[in-house]
Amino acid sequence: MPEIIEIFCMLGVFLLFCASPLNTFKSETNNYYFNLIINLNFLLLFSILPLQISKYAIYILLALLFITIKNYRTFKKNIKNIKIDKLRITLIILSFVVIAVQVASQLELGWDAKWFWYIKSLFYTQNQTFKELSNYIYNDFHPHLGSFLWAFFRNFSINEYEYTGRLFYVFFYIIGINFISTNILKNKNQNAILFIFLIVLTQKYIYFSGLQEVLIFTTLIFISKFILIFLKERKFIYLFLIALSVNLVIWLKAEGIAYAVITLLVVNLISKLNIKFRISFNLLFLSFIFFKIMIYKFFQIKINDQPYYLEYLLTLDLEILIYKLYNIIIYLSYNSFKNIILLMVPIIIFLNYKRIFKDEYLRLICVFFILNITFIFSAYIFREMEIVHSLKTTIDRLVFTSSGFYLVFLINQIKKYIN
Amino acid sequence: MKKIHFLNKKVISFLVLFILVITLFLKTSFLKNLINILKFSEGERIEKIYGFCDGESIGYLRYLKKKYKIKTNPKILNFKHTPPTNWSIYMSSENDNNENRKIILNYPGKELNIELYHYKENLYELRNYYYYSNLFEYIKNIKIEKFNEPNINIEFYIKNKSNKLVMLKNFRAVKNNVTDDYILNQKLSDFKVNEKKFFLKLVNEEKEKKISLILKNKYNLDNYKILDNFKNCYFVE
Repeated sequence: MPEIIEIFCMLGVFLLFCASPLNTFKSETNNYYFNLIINLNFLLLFSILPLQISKYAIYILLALLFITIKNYRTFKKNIKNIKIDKLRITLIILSFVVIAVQVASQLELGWDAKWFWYIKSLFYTQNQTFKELSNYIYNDFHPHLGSFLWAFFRNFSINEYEYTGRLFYVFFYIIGINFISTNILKNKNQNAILFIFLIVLTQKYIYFSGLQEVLIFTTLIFISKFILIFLKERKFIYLFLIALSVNLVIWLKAEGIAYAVITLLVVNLISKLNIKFRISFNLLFLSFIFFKIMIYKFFQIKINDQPYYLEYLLTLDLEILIYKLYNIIIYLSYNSFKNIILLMVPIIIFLNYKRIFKDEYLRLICVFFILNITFIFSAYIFREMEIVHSLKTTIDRLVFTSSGFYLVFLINQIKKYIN
Repeated sequence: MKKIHFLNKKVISFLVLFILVITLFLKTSFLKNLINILKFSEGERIEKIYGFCDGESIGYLRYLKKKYKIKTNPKILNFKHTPPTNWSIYMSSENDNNENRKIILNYPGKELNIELYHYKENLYELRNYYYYSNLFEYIKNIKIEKFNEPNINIEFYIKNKSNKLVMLKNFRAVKNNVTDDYILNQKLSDFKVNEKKFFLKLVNEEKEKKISLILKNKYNLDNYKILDNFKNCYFVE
């Protein structure tokens, strides 16, 4: 029973990261999602500082609580005007508890989580900082943000069980799914059905086993949705949020840089993009990349420690290339059928090819898809590893990660079809 | 009429929603998980999943950490091929090399008998060569069932980047009439296999056979002081 109570307590902690600093009592806005992205960027900054988590985590929580109470008091009168979707709130809590109970019961960590993600989080849990983490032998493989979040939220757990930190991954995923299934269809019930349907479709225990793919998957959901909203509203705030989300992606996993560059290209391909917006977005993007490089240089972390070498590229002959291509096609096709989201994208693009120059979002998705597939192929062709083993163990996760970006697109297509 | 139609729509929506929620419950085995949490503590669940002195043996590692108040990172040698296990007792403040103590899990004895996987024709694969090469010193003997020749030619291969077999070495093994196997005494470190696939070929022997290798363990417990032992899991110095 105490563990069940703790799951609810952890949900309360997570919700605070959605509740402030931007006011969520003002009106029916998307501020919950903006807050989450903003707060995660703040946490990223904290993760690099030479401070032990136990010394500041509680103050961050108290600050958020204080701002939330202050916002509530200021806009107390407005709350009556906000229509609370009780069904949706119930479903969010229910789906969080169901998946959290699964995480707490099954407990098993994924291979890479055992290998390094969890150990990286232990550095923070055991009161070390980014400086000590940078000396860890497997630190250079991937960035640290996911591991930091694992340790940061574990810090609020009474029993300090390892899995309590991982529950944030569940929360982040559910909020992402909620974001793209709100105000899509005509009535609340249909939207609620869509929400649960998406969870049933995409949820698997392995994604919450300490692996980082679900974090990128969800961040790509946010990016895709922000792009869609920007196309409609043309407000810079959405470009700013895209840049902040991109900043999270590059600190989550090594391949995050590929998604970041693809997003940069896609945003720059938006037609009639205000020149001021374009320059500001590109500068923001470059400053985030520059910031990461500077941090890595300062802490003497290798910027790329993945098995990609120029010497290897030169040894690639036609025979190896054909062998690799053959296997990539086989495994990618098989996993696309299993995942279905990735498979649906080219089908929908093909069925709507006449609209490709008229529908801006469709065009951008098409560009993202081509670049995404190019990235998947290059990731395996230029990687010096036994290809079949590499594909068997990683491509399902790569397909899942990418599919986050297309979920918004698919929902949009469903919406058009139903309407 | 309109009202009935609206009500029908609402009922159908709730029905679909209900079915989806039930699907989510079933997909995640919610009730089973809930009972598991209520019935067993976190430590018991960990032992159930990872084993105490079996498989990853996380139960034994946690037990050692608690009993001996281990604040360092002793080397963990698991003789069952599993994912890494050091995460369960890892101390981030400690250097991995500052420790003479070792934790040996699922110790098979001084030798281990491994059956080879028949790949095709007269080619057999020693799976997870890289893993075995870290724990075992050399291939002592090869056992071939229903084969009585006094000697046999064996070739060792790896698969290269373009999936082609490349021969590393050939060897003429002589039968030991006492043990009924063929003597190899081939050091595993002699082959630079890394994470590539490793094969053995029985020259001129086309029929599929049951073949096993006897590997000599790098770690002999006689050379260590045993600090703790449970079944075939050891804490040694």
